[in-house]
Amino acid sequence: MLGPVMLIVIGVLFLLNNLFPDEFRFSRMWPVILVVIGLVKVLEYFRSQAGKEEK
Amino acid sequence: MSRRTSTGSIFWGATLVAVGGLLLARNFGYSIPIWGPLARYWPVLIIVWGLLKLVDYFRMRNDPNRRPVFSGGEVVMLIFVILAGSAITTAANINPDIGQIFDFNGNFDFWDITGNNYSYTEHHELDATAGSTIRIFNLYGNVEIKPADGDHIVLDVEKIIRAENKADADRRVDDFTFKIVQDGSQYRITSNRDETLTSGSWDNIRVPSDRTRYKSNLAIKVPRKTLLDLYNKNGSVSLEGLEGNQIVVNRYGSTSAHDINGGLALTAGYGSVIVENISGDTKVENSHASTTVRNIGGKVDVENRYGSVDVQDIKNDATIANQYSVINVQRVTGKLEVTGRNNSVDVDDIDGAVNLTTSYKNLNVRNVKGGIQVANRHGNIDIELDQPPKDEIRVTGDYTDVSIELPADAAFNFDGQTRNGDVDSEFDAVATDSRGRDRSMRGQRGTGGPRIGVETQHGDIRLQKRG
Repeated sequence: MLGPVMLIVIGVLFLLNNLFPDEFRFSRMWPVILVVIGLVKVLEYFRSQAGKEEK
Repeated sequence: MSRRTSTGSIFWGATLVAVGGLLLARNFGYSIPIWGPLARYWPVLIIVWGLLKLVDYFRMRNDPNRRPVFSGGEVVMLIFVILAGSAITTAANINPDIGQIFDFNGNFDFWDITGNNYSYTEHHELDATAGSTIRIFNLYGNVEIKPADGDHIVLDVEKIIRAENKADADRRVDDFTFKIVQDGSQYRITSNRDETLTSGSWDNIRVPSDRTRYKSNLAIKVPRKTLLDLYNKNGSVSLEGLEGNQIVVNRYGSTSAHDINGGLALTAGYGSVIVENISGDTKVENSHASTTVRNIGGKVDVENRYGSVDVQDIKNDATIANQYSVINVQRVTGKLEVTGRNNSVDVDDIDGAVNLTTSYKNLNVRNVKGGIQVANRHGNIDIELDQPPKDEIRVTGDYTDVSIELPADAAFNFDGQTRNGDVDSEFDAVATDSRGRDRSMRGQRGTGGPRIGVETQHGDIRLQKRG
């Protein structure tokens, strides 16, 4: 799931960079990528936990 | 079992069909803007790609013999798309010549590189009253203005026509002629192809698409006392040695103006600007290229973006704004106001008061005789004075180290504080104090000196003796 989400995030960041270069430069926004990776990992962890309990 | 195909191949197939179709349509003469939107919206491709991958992922989650979501080739593809997209965006933003291709109204035909250039010349002369307005309009080519020996206008045109062959060019050149028209107290210089364009305002000019075949370099001599109203779209512009207020617009190209006894209002872009020896008020607007303004008698107002600004020897007040590139100012007799953004600001030798702001880069101030008001965000502030300050100094910062260097005999009343940083003073009269993480330094040194107020959030404050 991480791959597709990363594609979307990277796309959105570059789009913001192009449309609002003053406020949302890529050089400023890139840590969002780290945050999203973290979020996906946390989400996957909780999902696998839920899966174990069901079994 | 049949393996379910991924959506990826459909996506790239559809993209290729769309891009190919658009380019094909263009080649058949439909004017479809491709490069402008592409330069801006290419990341949408990645977003759509990601969404399709997400669909793939959920569809194939329970498929036992699913392939990995990403193959090595796709990673390479992603990197390639990002690099190519960034390059095209950068080109659209920065490169002066390519910039116009991405202009949504632009008519510069990038792919039409067929044909040859044929050049012709034209010569016109007309006696003119000194002190008249002369409106000059040129689209593709250079314009050079010089004073004539007497009161007349001399126009030399070099016409360059792109055509299939000589015969074609000869036919076309008959329909591309210049003239000097007297209209009341005004004179107009323009080509017959552009007369309808120039009748109204020059603010929003739409150029017919085959106009790029016709280029014209104008060398014009005008009476020394002349009020120019000059518009050039693509090419360099130079003017010199005139008397009176001059209005110049040059959309894409470099501009130089010097030795003018009068004022100057210049709007430029995508080309370097040099303005020198102007006796009157001078207003310069530029973007995406460097701007140099030197030796001005009147008020100076410079606005630039994405290009450096150098301002020197101003005998009056100066107002300067710039973004994303340096501002250097030296020797201003009057007041100075600088508004920076994401750029470093260097100010030296100012007789009047200064008010400076910028962000993310450093701000250096040397030898200001008037009051000083500076503010910076995410960048440091350095103030060095050879003479004791006479007027108030006010410094505001956030993630900002502040350093102030004053002559050893200066008198002042210092009041500085930082929330998170060190304070240090070489003047004994200024005592440092720490309460929790807050640090402050206060003290009156000598008598009758001005107030020096320093306020920063996360940074050091350093007060030093000069020399």
